[in-house]
Amino acid sequence: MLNPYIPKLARIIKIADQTPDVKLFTLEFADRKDRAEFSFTHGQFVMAGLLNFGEAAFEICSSAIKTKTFDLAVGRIGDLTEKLHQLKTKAVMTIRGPFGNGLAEKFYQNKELLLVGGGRGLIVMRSFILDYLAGALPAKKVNVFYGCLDEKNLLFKNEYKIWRKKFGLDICLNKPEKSWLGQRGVITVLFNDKQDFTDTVALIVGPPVMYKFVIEELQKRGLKDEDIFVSLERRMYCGIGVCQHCAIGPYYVCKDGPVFSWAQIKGIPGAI
Amino acid sequence: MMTNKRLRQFIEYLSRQNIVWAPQRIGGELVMERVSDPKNVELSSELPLHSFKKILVPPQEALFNYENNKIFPAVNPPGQVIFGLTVVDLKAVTFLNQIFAKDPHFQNRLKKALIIGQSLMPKGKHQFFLEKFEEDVLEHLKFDVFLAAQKDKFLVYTGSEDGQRILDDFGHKDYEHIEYVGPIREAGLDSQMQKIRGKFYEDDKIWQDLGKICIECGKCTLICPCCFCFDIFDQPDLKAGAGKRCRAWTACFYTDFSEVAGREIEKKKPKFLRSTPERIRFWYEHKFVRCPDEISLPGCVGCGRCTKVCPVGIDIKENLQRILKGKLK
Repeated sequence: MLNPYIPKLARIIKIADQTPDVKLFTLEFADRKDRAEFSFTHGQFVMAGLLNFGEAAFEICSSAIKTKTFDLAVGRIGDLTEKLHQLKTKAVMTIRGPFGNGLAEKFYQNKELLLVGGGRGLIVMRSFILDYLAGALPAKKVNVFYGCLDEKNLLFKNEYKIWRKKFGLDICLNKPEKSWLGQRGVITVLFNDKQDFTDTVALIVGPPVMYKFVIEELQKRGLKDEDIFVSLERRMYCGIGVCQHCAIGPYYVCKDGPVFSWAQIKGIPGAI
Repeated sequence: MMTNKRLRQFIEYLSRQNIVWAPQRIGGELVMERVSDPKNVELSSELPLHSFKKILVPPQEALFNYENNKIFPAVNPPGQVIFGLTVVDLKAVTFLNQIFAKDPHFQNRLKKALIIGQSLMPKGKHQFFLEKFEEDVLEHLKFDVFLAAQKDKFLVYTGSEDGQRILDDFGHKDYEHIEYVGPIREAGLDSQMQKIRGKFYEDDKIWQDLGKICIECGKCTLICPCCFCFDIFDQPDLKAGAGKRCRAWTACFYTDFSEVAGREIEKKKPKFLRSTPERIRFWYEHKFVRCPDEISLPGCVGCGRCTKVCPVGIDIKENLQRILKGKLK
């Protein structure tokens, strides 16, 4: 019987500072076989950890077609991530997964895909974006709405130039410097009445407070609940729907999510 | 048939070579404990306060060991005998076997354990679901040997090859084998359970009411033979770079259960189960919504232990009746 708690080992091969408290780790499985077998759907996550310091859930933010290495963006917000931020390249991490349901291609095939990311919600969007840039995402078009606190917290800044050649990236900042020329306020300011959302599927990822307001904006513009997807965060330990920490109503975020359609979970108390 | 005297000899025989757990009266309370003197084993219709849970699902166990970035499998658990389980607790063993169907740690421990059940039915005031013992329940229960009490002797059943082997070795030939056909009767989820599942979300006020009295001590989760939720964490060794990744019981009533990392708000970490009513609903939701949905079994065998230990008098039987009443008119 396969032991789902035994992790694979992966080596950090690159660390790049993103913001004052987010680092981008590029990892490679130590074992050749693990490298060859690794594949995931956009929106899936891994349980990544460090021996002596435990595990936590991280969404994969690199390409789903080039999986020889993979990226995790880690915010320094807890005990484990504090320790991860002290690591240097060649350090070894533990990896289990990928787990759960991401956003399968069938849901947005030949449709427009609107990615709405708030704060660190942009992290998982990068895997969709990279594959769209490579011509490997079956969406007709991609648009990204990104709400962030201020300029110094913008993620993947050095990639925007390339991104903008292929798709729209709308950014608003909540507390920008005076010099900021773009939009200001919460993420919903990026919605206006000129936008055409027919034939659009949306994925929303961000802090819990954001979901309700973005869903309302999308519904106003005619999106059906089946075409609005959210990715949820919860405390997780097992990753396989046993330990109960991530349960919402009848579902497990780790196993049935983390990506759910709004139609699937809108009636569940406490889901968002 | 096995006589009382022969049964005593059987317990002695088992104790000679194995770790044996059985109901014993300690400090006035019947509990499941390790047998040091077979004479103390008490076979009765009373449910031991502590169930078998700590034996099959230990409070803490290593998932694997590590040293210098190498991973080593956890040490195999020893074989042991769990003696004298009532049908109520055998139901809980069967339930856990479904929950941990793909868990090598649990399966290994269960495979190595010899489970010996008995038919005396608990009649405490807190129990519900089961009234009297009927033989046809046996094919739906996980056990190795089962003792069905007659007037002054026992009919002996086996539920596994291990059970047959131990009886053969002991020299008892008079038994009947019952093939385990799975945990669920043909009819599927019990009709009363279906009703509870259907009406679960109708009366939300019940959680508000219970939230006012529950003190979130978590005793009900510890004592429940079906509660199994766990944390996973690393336990470093004194030797640098070595340690073990462990899992350990937790309780959904503890405030850190749903906590996530992030900026603190009013000195509190962000969490998703924010209030007592939300947490007590979560406990019931697990047992009467998620478990039935996943494995067609409720996460409750009606043993009533949670009611017995609750310091503020929350009674699961009453609460299920209230859920069954449904929407308040």
